[in-house]
Amino acid sequence: MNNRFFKDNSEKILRFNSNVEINEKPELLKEFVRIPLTPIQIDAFLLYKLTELIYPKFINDQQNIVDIIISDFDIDDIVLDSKVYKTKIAGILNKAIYLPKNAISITRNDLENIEGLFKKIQDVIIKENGIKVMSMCIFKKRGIDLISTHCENLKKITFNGFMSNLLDLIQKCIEKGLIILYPEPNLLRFMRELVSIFQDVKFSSIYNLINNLCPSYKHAIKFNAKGMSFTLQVDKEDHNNNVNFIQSELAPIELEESMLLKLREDNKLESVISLDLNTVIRFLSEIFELKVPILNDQMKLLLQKFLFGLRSNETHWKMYPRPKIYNLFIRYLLRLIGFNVNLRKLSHWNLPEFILNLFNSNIGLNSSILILLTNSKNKNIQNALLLQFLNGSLVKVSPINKTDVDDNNLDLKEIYLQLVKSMEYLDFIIKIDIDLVKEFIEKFIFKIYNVSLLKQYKVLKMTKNPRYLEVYPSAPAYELFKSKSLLSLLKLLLPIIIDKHEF
Amino acid sequence: MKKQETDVVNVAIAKADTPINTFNMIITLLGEMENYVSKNDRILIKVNLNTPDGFPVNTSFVLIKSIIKSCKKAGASEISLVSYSNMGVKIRSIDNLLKINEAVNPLGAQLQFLEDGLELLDLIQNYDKFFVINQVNVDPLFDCTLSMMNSTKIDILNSQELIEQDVESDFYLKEMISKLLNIYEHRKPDLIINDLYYIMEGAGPYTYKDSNLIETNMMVGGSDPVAVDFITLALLEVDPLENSLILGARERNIGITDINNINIIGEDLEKSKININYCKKNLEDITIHNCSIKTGSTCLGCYHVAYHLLNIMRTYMTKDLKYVATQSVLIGKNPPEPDFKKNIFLFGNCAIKSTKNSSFRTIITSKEVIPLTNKIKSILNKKEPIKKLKTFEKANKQILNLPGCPPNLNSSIKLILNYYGKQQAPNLYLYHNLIATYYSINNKKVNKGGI
Repeated sequence: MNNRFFKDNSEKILRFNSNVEINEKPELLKEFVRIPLTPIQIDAFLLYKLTELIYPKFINDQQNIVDIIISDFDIDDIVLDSKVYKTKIAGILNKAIYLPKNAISITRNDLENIEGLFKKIQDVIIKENGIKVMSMCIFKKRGIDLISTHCENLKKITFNGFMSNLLDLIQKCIEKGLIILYPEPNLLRFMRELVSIFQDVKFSSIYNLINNLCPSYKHAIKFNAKGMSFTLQVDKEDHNNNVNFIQSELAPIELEESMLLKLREDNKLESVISLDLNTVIRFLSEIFELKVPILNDQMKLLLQKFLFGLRSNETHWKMYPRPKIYNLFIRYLLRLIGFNVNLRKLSHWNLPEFILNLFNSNIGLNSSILILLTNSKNKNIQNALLLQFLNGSLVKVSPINKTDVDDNNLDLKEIYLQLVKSMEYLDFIIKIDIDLVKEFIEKFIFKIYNVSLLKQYKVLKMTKNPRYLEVYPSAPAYELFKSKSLLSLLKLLLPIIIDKHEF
Repeated sequence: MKKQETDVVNVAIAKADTPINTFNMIITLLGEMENYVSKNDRILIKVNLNTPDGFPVNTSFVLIKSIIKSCKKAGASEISLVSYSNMGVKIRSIDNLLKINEAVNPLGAQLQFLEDGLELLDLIQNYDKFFVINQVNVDPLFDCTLSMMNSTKIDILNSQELIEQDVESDFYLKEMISKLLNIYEHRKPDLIINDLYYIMEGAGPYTYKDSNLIETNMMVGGSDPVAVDFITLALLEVDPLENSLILGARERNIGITDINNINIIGEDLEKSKININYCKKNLEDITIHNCSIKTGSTCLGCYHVAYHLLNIMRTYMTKDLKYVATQSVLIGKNPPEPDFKKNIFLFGNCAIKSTKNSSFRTIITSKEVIPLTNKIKSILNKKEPIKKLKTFEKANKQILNLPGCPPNLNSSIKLILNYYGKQQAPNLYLYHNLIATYYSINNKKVNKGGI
């Protein structure tokens, strides 16, 4: 039923997991497997450790799983295949026990009550196999077929092709309910709610859009956790991305800098970022716990945590080479001319609340905003997304068909007049040029370690040019933005963004 | 009191899944738009355009578009929208920002500007029909924004200082009610719709930190403004006969204030009641970080402006108040002593005058000093000088007077900003600059460095 490529890899992982239990030093086994559903090769023991760490946090922290494949069409007995994995550690599968054909019987009506169905299956497996399964995974046959097709294509396609396929696969499986997990993990519920917000917007198209906006780069992210360390090398060259796992040695904190600099030199990397994996996992699990649409107060809290992480340079994360903005002499010079740019004093506790309050009062609690990603060189619209907010929360993201929006020489007034006739109501159109976004991503994210402040200033200055950024109709906040010079704006905003004292 | 009107009027309560469907249902319940609009009628629609902010501070444009389309379909020859603004900003400025005319012109409607001496009452005379479309939000004075509000210029941000009035007489409220109802004494609207599909609760009618939007899916409509507001209040579980605007209308015999004379059609009133959180009636209940609020006997004018000032502080001054660490706001006549002796704001003439002899006005410090005689003695005797404890009394300079009855909100914000300085109050400084754009939009240029 499964694709050979997928099955071989799964069996290899199962074999390795069994060996780990009987081996004294499993880290020396030096076996390589693929991360399931991806073409990425990884040290099998690293995958083992990662699964041990991540699976209980995101999927289920209980032992023993039953996998069931069901038919898409039948009504009465819809089970096609079923197996039980007896696990000592949650998520670490080592041997599958295939259940006889008629061991489990499921009808289509049973799917209406998943909790009842799980209890029924749990009782059957305890009785027949003496194993108490604590979680259940039901795949619809169509889902398995899609996974097989995805795995078949893995050998043929580029990394970007794989990413697009994977995102489409996830979106389709969630949208069509092709995978049912019980107890349902927060991750799956979060994704399902997210999919319902992104109506007709493919995750793969968002990935491709972001990827196209990124410059060429070669970076590495080193993740550290208790007893484990690994590096993820990510690069993009000529529109092709690549991701490699590099097993790293655990180094004492005082040697970390020299180790990262060596890693940078050896792999000819632009920069290396060191992150605490547990912090990342904790932050992600907090995101997945949220109900979507994310309420205003929760969004404030989430942004506060994100900004706190961002300001905790040298404690929660490190970057080599250090971004110039952290240079004491540069900051001192800026301070002399009246700009306090100390990112370690980023106002993480105040900024989200202030921005969201300002957004809600200026834009409105309910609003529709059309984002136009334009190409001013070709005078055309590249992407058009309609964002709908309800009580200040983003509730719907939908693409606007490009045929519905005439480019109109990128004249926002004309576009607004045209759309306002056909749409129920449109509050604002925000036009952002791709050159601005590209420059921003390059100068403020990917090349932040060596970009001069003058170049960053030039990017900020681009925002003052309506060719790159424009809002129509205007709002008081945008009028204020337009009416002030960039330096005055920075003087107005920096005291809000940066704290005077440590809080 | 004049004799109460006794005709029975219809008030419709509609509930549906979208604002457009709810509006259509209201019109169906009231007997189709043709009952209200005749061929070639000139229609004036009063909406809420309070500030250049978004929904629900202003009427929903989905609803405005729907009513324009319905009027056009029924044969209206001319449709005009009209509104008074609330924050001293001109309607022309709101239009310049939000491009309302650009949105409604293609539908055959236009926005009229009630400016340069033009009053709603004068304008109504030129139109065959007068409709009111009102967004319902919570309001500190009248529980919620009723359809009879927004019919005159009430500028709380730049309110003219009144001659000091007796607290008990509530001149501010009476004056406001008189102004609001004046128009209804001369001309009643032909159709009123109170839009409760989304209603702002917690803090309002402007969007503050505690503002929350709830979806009720309901609208109330009819042809008697008092009856429509009466039922709206009843729906929101407020006793209409305790509402000063309804009582004012009753005194002036403007509309129906007896539920027996109101024929409710559509949804059942009792089964549809909505429970919402209203504005804080007690100003001390508005919690602001690092700020203590004490109130004495407060007139409604001071309460109204203080309510907005405190909500602005709560919404925008979190960082500023963390910097200043302690702040006290004393409101009304004979307020209790403040918790802190630093940064005391005396809000309103009553607070300023009644605390003239309060102990917080002086700061008493004591210091050990060596009197001159003791100093000489110590030199002569070669002994340690004997110190004496001396108390000093000096005027507390960390007091800010916010004068007026009620104080002008805009001036109060400016005074607070001057008191703290932009370094200490960066968030308030940005808010102040933002408010400046409300006024400068007509000149297309904001004064650099704020107003």
